[in-house]
Amino acid sequence: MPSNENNKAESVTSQWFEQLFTALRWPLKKALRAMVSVSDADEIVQDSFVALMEQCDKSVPDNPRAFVYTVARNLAISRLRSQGVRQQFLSEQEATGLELPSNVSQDTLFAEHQKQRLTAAIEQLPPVCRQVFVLRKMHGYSHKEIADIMGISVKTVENHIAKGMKACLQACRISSNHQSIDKARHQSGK
Amino acid sequence: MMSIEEWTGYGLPEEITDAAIAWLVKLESGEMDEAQHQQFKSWLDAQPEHRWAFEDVSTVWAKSSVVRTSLSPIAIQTAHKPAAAPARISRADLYTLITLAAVFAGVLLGSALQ
Repeated sequence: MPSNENNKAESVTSQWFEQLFTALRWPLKKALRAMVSVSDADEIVQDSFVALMEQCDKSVPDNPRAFVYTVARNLAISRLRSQGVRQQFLSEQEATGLELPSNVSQDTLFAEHQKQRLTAAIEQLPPVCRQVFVLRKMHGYSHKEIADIMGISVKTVENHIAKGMKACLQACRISSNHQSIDKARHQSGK
Repeated sequence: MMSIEEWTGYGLPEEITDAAIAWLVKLESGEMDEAQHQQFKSWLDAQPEHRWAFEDVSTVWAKSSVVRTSLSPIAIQTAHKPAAAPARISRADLYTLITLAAVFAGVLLGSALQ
């Protein structure tokens, strides 16, 4: 390994790296535990730092913390997938009557389904909230402009946007499915 | 390609997601000063869940503008009618008008069917 030309990365990988590992290890593990098992969480922490180390060999990320966090989340999601939780979700989708044409991939189906849910969520917002959200998102009006048009305060506009945003997030979540999966897991575990 | 979006919000506490939404709205307002930007950056780095929640929220935010909803006539009217429009109709008036129109249409339909 070239040590001279890579001085920056070199200093980065020694005590800097250890400090970062010490600082992030526990919070990261704790966060991962909400998604995966203890042993998986441990492995993901390790793997995330290996990924950071490899990345530092090429170039040091601007925000190493952010890099580690994002890699860890992606690794956790890949694990969840491979553990078949996703399959379970998709079979629940089938059970709810969604048909799977053979030429359409499950991902396309998922994206389409999610878009429908998102549309429905926006359409189901209370009228004023929906109007604020649509003016912001589809027409690009500023918070101030919306406040003027609708005769409400900027603060109220922002509350409506947050509310609309939350509804969109709920729609994208498969939380009800997650919960039932979690429940199923707990039941089978006990 | 598989998207990671199907895992939106998975394993994230509600209050952190709410905080992420609050930050997104603040950013969106374009009214944040340098100190607030710094605050936001520290918040993002403070806990893995913060960044995860913010990434999820931003993704959904971006996606929600692609969605084409059938706009309510009220939204379109209000959005395109400048404040100086000749006869200003308040929102309450519009609701009333629409309700009346709906009732009227219903009456017409009812009598046509009889």
